[in-house]
Amino acid sequence: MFTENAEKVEKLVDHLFRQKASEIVAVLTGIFGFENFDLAEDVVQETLVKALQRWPYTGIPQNPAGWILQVAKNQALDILRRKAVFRDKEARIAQALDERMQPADYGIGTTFPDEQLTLLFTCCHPAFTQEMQVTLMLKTLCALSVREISRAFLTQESTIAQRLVRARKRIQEQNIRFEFPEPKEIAPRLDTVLQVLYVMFNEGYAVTEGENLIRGELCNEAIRLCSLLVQSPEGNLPKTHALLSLFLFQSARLNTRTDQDGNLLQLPEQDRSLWDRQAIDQAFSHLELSSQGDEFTRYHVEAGIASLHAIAPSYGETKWKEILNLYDSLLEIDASPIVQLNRCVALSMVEGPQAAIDQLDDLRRDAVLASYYLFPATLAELHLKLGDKRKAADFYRMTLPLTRTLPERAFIERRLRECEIA
Amino acid sequence: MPTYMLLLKEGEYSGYSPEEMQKILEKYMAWGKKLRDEGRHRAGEELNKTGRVLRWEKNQVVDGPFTETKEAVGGFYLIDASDYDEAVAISRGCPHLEFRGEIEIREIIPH
Repeated sequence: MFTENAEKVEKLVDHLFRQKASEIVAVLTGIFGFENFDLAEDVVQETLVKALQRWPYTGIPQNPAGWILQVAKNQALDILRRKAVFRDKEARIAQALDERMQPADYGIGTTFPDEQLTLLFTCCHPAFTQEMQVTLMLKTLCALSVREISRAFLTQESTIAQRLVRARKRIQEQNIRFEFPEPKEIAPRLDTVLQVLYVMFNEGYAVTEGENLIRGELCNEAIRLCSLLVQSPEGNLPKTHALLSLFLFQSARLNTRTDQDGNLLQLPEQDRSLWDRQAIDQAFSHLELSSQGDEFTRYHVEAGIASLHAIAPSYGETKWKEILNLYDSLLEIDASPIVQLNRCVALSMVEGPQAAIDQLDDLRRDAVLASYYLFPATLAELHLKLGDKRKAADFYRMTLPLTRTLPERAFIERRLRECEIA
Repeated sequence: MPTYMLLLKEGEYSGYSPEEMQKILEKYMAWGKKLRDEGRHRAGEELNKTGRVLRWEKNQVVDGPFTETKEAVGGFYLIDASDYDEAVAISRGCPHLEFRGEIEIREIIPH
């Protein structure tokens, strides 16, 4: 009976279901085997549906996480009996379930870090393509649905579903197991993990639409997993701190990237007083830790660039020369056209728009940039700074078909209108 | 003020992510809280899916009810409302309807 008990939990912690889902999927995948991660997900799904059906009548239990774990355990035992794939292993698995899932100890904070770390490394097995790695991670470790993942990547649900089918096939064919890599494999695997987290964060950061809040969640998940990693003995390296620092600097700005109407705001227009100072402080702590040791990765450079933006009181007062130097370092590590594009923005602030335009003209034939909306958009901005509204308008028009989301499109259209006002 | 029984039939929750399910739950909790805050909530319980059915003609007691899933009553509420219109208006706010669940509303005959 639901009583008017004042001690009852009033509200759930944000993302509790997703957080616990990801932890319990990790534990169950460890027990069921990597090839059965979908069964682990089924267990968790049924558990949460039960909570959904029950708690409106009973109220939220005193320890919601403990309740979820207990019910998940019961569901797991149930699925153990029903599925042929577990025949002959029932007793062993039941025992593992009993040992590892202790509801009394489980609360809002407990996170099964070992199992999550193992899953993190397993998802990044070299047998998978990077797309599979990202998708597997989002599905199993971040408890996102196929629909949510497809929205995040602006692609079809069927694309994501098929990718998971292929990934499962690969798990079976190559007998990929839920386990930590061997000592000699840890270093390259860790690099893959960092790359995948980087991709995940970038996807989340690219645009944060009003409806597409899932993208902000990708950033949060990347931060959560990177934090988990940095707290482990294998992952506690300067480059992990560098990546986490970068994530924190970028995420500090997330809430100012759109105005209240959902319009996109670029760096010059963002209200810096609204940047998350706590995230920036944490970012600096990790930046400090990343500077220990000899290794100097692109994450170090990008974190350094982000830190210079974070401390600048305004766009104009930013230390552009230092940023330019950092981009020169980044080019030595990664001479990609996108890095060159970003460098040109810094160059324009140091040497003026024309210098940047000249550099960018050399990149006109690049295939990657040809489909990247910020390339013509940047050229447009630079011509606008030189007062050439006509050329700017031409470039904005070229940008329009390349935009991927409504806020991006709306932003470019606004700029185009401003140019066309003679 | 009359009392109404709300019979909530199976909702459809498959295909929702954990995050989405939490949002759904929060809607249910908010609706229930409103009922309590307004002093309308007399009772509300979830019902076990399996039970017993007593059938008159053969005078037997059998396992059941094996009604079609979407007809199965998953839970009920007893609420106070001034009339059917008000009871319906209150029920409309229940997220159960959003999730393809049916709500049957019956007035308890006063005596």
